Amino acid sequence: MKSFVLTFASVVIAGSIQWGFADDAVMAAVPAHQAAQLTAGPELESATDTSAIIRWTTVNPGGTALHYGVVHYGTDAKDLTQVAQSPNRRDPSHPDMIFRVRIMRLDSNTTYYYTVESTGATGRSDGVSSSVKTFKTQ
Amino acid sequence: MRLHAFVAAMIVCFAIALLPIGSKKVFSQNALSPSAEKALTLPAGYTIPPQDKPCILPGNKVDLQCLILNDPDFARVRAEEARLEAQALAAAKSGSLDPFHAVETLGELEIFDPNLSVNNNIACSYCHDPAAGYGNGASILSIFTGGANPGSVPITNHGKYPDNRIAKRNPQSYVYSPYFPPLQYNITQGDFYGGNFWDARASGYRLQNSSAEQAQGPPLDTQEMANPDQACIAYKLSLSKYKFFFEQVWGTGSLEITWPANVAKICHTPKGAASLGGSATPLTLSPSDRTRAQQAFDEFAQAIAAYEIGSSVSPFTSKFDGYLAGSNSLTAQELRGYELFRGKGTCNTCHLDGRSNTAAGGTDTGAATSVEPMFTDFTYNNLGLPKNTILPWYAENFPDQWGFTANPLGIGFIDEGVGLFLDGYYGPPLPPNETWGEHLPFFEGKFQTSTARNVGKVPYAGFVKAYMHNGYLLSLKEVVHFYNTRDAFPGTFVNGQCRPGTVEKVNCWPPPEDPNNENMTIGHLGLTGTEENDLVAFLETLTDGFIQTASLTSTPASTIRKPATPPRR
Repeated sequence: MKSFVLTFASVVIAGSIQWGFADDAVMAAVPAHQAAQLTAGPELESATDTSAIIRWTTVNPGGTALHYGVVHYGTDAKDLTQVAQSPNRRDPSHPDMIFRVRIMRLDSNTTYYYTVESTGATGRSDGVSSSVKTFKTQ
Repeated sequence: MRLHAFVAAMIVCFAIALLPIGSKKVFSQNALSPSAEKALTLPAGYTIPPQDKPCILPGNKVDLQCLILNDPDFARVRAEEARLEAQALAAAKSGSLDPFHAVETLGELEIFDPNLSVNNNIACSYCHDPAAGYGNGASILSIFTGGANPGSVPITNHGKYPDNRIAKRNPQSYVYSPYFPPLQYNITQGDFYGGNFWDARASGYRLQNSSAEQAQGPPLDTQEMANPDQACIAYKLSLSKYKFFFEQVWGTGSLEITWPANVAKICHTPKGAASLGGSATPLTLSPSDRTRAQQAFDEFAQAIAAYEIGSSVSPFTSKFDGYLAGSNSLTAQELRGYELFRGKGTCNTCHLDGRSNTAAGGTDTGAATSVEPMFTDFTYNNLGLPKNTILPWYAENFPDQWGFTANPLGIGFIDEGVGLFLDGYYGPPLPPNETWGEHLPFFEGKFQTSTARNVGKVPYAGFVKAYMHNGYLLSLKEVVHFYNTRDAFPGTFVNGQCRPGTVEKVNCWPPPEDPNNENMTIGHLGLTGTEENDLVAFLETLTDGFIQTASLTSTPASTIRKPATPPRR
């Protein structure tokens, strides 16, 4: 039980997107699951006055068929506390995986800062991390 | 161990409550499309049949009673229904069916029997036309009701629209539906697999047969066959011309139930009628008769599932099946479409064709892993379809003459798909597995990934087929174009309409009805118009009947006979 509590505490402190699947920490140690690397992006695909789509490509991260692209964003580069996530389907045979995330309820004519990551359907992180980038709504 | 599991469960619950993503309900910000107000643009090449013209009402509405009487597709479907019912009855009476085909034929008799509805006026096939791939068989409905079919109950309130109870969705084809396993939440994949219906509510948990449990839905649906009590199905089977055959299949006495004196009256009262007092079992039966009626209802459903998995409905006789078997080839365009299907189009990420994806230059020289690919992964996705405001369901926010209001929310109803099922929209005991409810935030807005088999099947050239759960898309070209360009025209839909210079479904798409969990694998695929056409050409190779059953051993159930002389042992 102690290990579960510790694991849970760690995911909360990390502020990541896990929703309490403590076993993920154990699974993450399995060598077959390497951290996926970004191969393109992230970049703005499109933006309106209230929404945006962020797109990036990683090496196929493996894991579940259902994945989530996750964007942490905000108007202050040091305060990326808002989160948007979108389901993306992973094809097991493809070398890469394209992630796209739609962000809604944005303010118009505003610059946003963001980073991206991705997870499997059970919350396990793919280990992708990006530098802070920006986009601007119309 | 138990403590371990309990702590884990508590952690999951606590984490879901804390974290801001996933569990956050996102309400649609979308203004309603004004499509119900503006003049409809009819599909290219389609003209409203002269018989239907008196049925067209202002505001893109239709007089359903008028269509029921006059529309040529309705007449065609009914004639086909009568022919197949007679054919099946003759086979049943022949006494020569083997046990396998006897069950199938019983299912066929049930599917084409209009007497199983509350008003003895619609059969299952009414909404599941074989010639249309077991989906809606009326072009006029595809255009004016999103493919939704009027049910058994007319609405007689003066001046109200619609003038018949009507379903909230485009009827889903049941081809290959028995191949969907019972609904399961796969904890390793973090995903639901299997089940039947657009929203998974036919989970198959009790009969361990999703399609059988699907078959139990429409007979008791207020908007469809509207029987007020499942025992009414047993009662109507006991009155049918094929009662003898039902008992032959399921055993003597299967339908021997002592019915109350008011059984005919109750079974002719539509579900939802105020006079029934909200009871799901208004027929008063002894406990043993109630059990027998339940058993007959289950057997009724299992026979339908047997018909649906048989060679009449799920025969694997498409041009593509022939291609896999090496018995025929595909044209150059179809092959290009196939490569796009499993490549740039990313279609086989969900509509599994038994081979791998070749997107972005990947190659796959291996053979198909299955010679019977299902063209679905049995999962659920939110494709971001716009609300189809032409569905008459949105107007069913008034009590009909029976005191029943189908859709109290009216136009405010949001079809959350699996979310409705998991959230208890259909009432107890749904969902049957209480632990499924915790997954609600991740499945709102999702609908079943239907098989792509028979998506191109139509009764005749020029037939307008409605696609997706709400029938918003009216051709395979529109379907492919939507997958390709859903996100390609940002900012073109403003204040509830497409900007001037843009055209809805061409270079302007309204936003999703339910933005939760919108699948982003699709939406901006970068296909050219020619590539879209190639994909459509490939999808049309999935239509059964290309390989003629006469040349094989698989023939329709009701034409199979036992050999005159039993084989020697």
